[in-house]
Amino acid sequence: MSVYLKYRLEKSNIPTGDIRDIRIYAAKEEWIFQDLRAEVVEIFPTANVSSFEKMLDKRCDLVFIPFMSIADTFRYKYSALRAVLKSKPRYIGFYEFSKRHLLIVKRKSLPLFFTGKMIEYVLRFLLRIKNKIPRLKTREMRQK
Amino acid sequence: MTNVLLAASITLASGDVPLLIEKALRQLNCRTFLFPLEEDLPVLDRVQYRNPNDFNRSRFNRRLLKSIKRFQPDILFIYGSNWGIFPKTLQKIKDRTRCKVVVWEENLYYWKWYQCMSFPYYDYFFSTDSYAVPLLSKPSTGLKHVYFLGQGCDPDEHGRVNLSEEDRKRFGADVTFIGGGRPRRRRLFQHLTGYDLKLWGWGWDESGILKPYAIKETVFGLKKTKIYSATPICPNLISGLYQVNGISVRGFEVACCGRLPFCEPREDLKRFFDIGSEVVTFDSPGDLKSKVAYYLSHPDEMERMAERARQRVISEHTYVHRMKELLEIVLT
Repeated sequence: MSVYLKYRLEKSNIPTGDIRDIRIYAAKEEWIFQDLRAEVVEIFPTANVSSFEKMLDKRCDLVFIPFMSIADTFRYKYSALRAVLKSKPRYIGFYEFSKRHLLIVKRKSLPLFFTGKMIEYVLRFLLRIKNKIPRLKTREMRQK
Repeated sequence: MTNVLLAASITLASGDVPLLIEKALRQLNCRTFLFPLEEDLPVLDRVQYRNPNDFNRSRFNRRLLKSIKRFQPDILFIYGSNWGIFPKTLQKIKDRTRCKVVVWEENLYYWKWYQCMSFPYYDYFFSTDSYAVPLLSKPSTGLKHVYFLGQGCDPDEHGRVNLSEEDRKRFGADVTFIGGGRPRRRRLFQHLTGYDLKLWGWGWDESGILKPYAIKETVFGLKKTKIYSATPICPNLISGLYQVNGISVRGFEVACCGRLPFCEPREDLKRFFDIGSEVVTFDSPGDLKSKVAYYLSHPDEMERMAERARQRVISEHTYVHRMKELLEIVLT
């Protein structure tokens, strides 16, 4: 049923057999956690799936952080990122970031995630500044 | 074995159709490579993709050419719409490879910008709306082969599910709709407020009458299947301005979940279902209201019709059937 989640897991090369303990970041709105949990349980029926709110308190195999896009605003982006930062770095690693804003965190290396994201944000910011600079409507100016 | 490079957008609104198409192609012994048009792009491409112009999309087009060189596909299959592949890129593909360019146009935005300029480079063009077929078959468009190919569903993804008591409480209703609250849809659902109504999505609260029935939650994947399974009536109201005869995936998905599709009377509906015995049509809000009342009071009849619709969909309208049809046309 969860073709999208399966696709994301395939893309991040996560072997479904080895996963026993899964943590999902509990977003402010309950339904986000509920929906993701239902899909995760379907893919990992034998795994222990639980939530975390502020930081990871114990070692686990896989962490899901839903970055839910709601009407094109990403409400939980920063709270979820903060949760990643606060959690113990050795549990965090390479990420999968998608339009559906699901962050799958594996135990590998941390820097790739933040480097990639920082570059993206800086470039977006520069493009935004560029778009805000009003263009001179030369032809209209000359006519005036 | 046929190599297929599937270029498609895997956004939230796409309903995972590209992933289901890829799955169907694999079932038909094709080697597939998914080239996402929006998601999973490298950082620079993702930034540039938001500002579509020649410069910003050039990196994206170069990457597609590299993927084609590496993967050596027999078919470049563009699903949805051609959102970013320029005519000059398609020309290069035609010049350098023997790859056939196939488009399955779902959004019907083909007259815009470079999309209509790409027509001469498409080997096969499939439209989800039969109305477009004679129009696009005219020599002046430059399209060589234009066909009609309807939407479909995947019985694994949209099958029946066992619902817990909690699920029934959360998703259950008499009438449900999943989608944006467009003005046309709001006007229709204002007539159904007498029932246990649930409207999932955004824009419904713009109407004061519908505000109590609106549920502002994103719906996809398993949740969608659960909602369809928990609700007897899920009307199919197409929002696409450009759809004239075509029907959307919703009708097929609802039927596949074992529910009776309630659809607008579109021309293409007759091609897929037996109207009256497998699907119910409505032509006005009043008509829908009376039919909802009738079928809610005759659940056995509704169940029988829904089962017929489900059998029809599973035997004729899955993505495997659609891809089989497409490959037969393209490869022969």
